[in-house]
Amino acid sequence: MAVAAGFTPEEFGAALFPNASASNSLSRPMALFQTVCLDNAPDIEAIANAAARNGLDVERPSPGQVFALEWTDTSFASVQVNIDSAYASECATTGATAQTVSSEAVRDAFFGALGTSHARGTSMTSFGGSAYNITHHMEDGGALGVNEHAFMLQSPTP
Amino acid sequence: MRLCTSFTITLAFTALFLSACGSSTSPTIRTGPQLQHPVTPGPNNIPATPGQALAQ
Repeated sequence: MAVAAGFTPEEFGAALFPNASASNSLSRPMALFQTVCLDNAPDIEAIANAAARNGLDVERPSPGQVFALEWTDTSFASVQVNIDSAYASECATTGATAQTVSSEAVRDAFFGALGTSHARGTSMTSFGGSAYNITHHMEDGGALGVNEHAFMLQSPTP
Repeated sequence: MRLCTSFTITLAFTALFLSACGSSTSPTIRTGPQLQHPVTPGPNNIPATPGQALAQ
């Protein structure tokens, strides 16, 4: 699919992430999911502190929210707590990768690293007395030439 | 959780991608189907019979 101004998806992706590679661009958000979300949920302050320790720029839209961002020429990653979420508690990490990387491959890597199985990108777990969904979602970036991936820890209870 | 791509797909500008991802105060992004921009044909001002005006 061609995009505005005659750019191809590949050119557009290269402009956004000039040194990105398909193999490593999701390792960061996957690692952040474990060290920031899983290790600290549901403690929002601890999540914010962990994101800062990992070098992300942390913004606190409200006491119950975290929006932390890392943007380099090789990768994009975010940590988000209760941002535009339908769940009472959500900690998500996001990143972008080349469109040649399939959603299935990402799920295999993600859930494999967690040591759990999944059904269509969702696994269930519980800790601290609360039940959680662990979910992967891929958004097709279409003409941008990159796909965006989200790794989410969601709970119906705060 | 907010995604950047779903907002910028339709606009396809790097700056807007950056602005969508750069702050929690940027426009709300939700996952799901892309918004479809309705196409509304404008008024048709072309004479039905092009030769008529010249004939008058």
